[in-house]
Amino acid sequence: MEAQAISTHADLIERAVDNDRAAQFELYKKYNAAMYNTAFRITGNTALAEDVIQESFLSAFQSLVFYRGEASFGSWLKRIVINKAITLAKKESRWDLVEDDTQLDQMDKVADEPVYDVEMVKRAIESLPHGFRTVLSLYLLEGYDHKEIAEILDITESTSKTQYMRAKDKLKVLLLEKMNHG
Amino acid sequence: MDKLEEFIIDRKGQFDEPRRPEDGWDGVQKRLDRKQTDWTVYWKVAAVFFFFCSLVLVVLLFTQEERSAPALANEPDTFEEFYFHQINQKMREYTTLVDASQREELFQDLADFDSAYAELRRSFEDLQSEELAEAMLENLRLRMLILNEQIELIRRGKGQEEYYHSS
Repeated sequence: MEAQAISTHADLIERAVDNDRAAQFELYKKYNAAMYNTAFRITGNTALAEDVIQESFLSAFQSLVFYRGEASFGSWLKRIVINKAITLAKKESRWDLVEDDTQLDQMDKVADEPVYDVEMVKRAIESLPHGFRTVLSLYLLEGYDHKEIAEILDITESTSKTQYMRAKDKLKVLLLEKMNHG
Repeated sequence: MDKLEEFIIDRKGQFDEPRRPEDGWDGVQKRLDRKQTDWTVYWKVAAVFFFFCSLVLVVLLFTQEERSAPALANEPDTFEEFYFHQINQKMREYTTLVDASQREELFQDLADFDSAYAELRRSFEDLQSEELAEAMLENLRLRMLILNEQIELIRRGKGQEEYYHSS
């Protein structure tokens, strides 16, 4: 099944390199939704995420000749999406690491964790500061480890870990607030 | 791993926004059609590359000054500074040897290289590909070779002129 999937993609990729619009559309359909979500989680804005998707697929199709198949097409494309999203978010001043958050320092760690709800957690992630949301999304939802996140964001591994811990604490605080205020 | 992390990881899929597979394709397609036309520029630049390559191949054997250039590196930051400095120096030298119209002609060609380089640089930012880094390095080397060749030709021409005038 896996081998089949790889060979199907290889054929699509080969045709897409030759500018076969149908093959490019097939690849787009396969990856569009997942990539859009990745872009949205970093930019935090639907219009910006849409721009990122356009730019990323455009860039991917034009650079497909350089794709060597060392990683899956999906992870290769995702790196393009993440890089574009971060660049665009930075340009729009939507991305920055959170240097200090006194609110977090003053709050005690949440002792008894409440029962979570997907929709509530999703909205709370969306309201995190951009830097926090990016690190947290890359780690928990995209599955990157801190070494990879450090490379992507051009920060140290320990900064990635610290930012992640702080992002998680902040998320818990936001969730508690939401629960307490209905 | 705490309860919140576990909760999110176990339900990854539910954190996605609903989206139809074809949403946004029109925009990508339109830009692909537009870009396809733009690529003809690169073919023209590529043709210029090869033309100059054949012209200046011999110069490679005689120009030793580039030997101190940084070796092929994956990080454009390491070779960009060196080559940009060298290219600027050669452009200044060329400017002192020719008139404005000649200068304009060559600088126009070099501007094409510059646009191609900017496009490669953008792609490199996204892909971090070794092939792209090599293409960028090649672009810079070719600019150097072209400038060296042109300067050499002008100098040789001037030398012959002086020789005929003096004899």
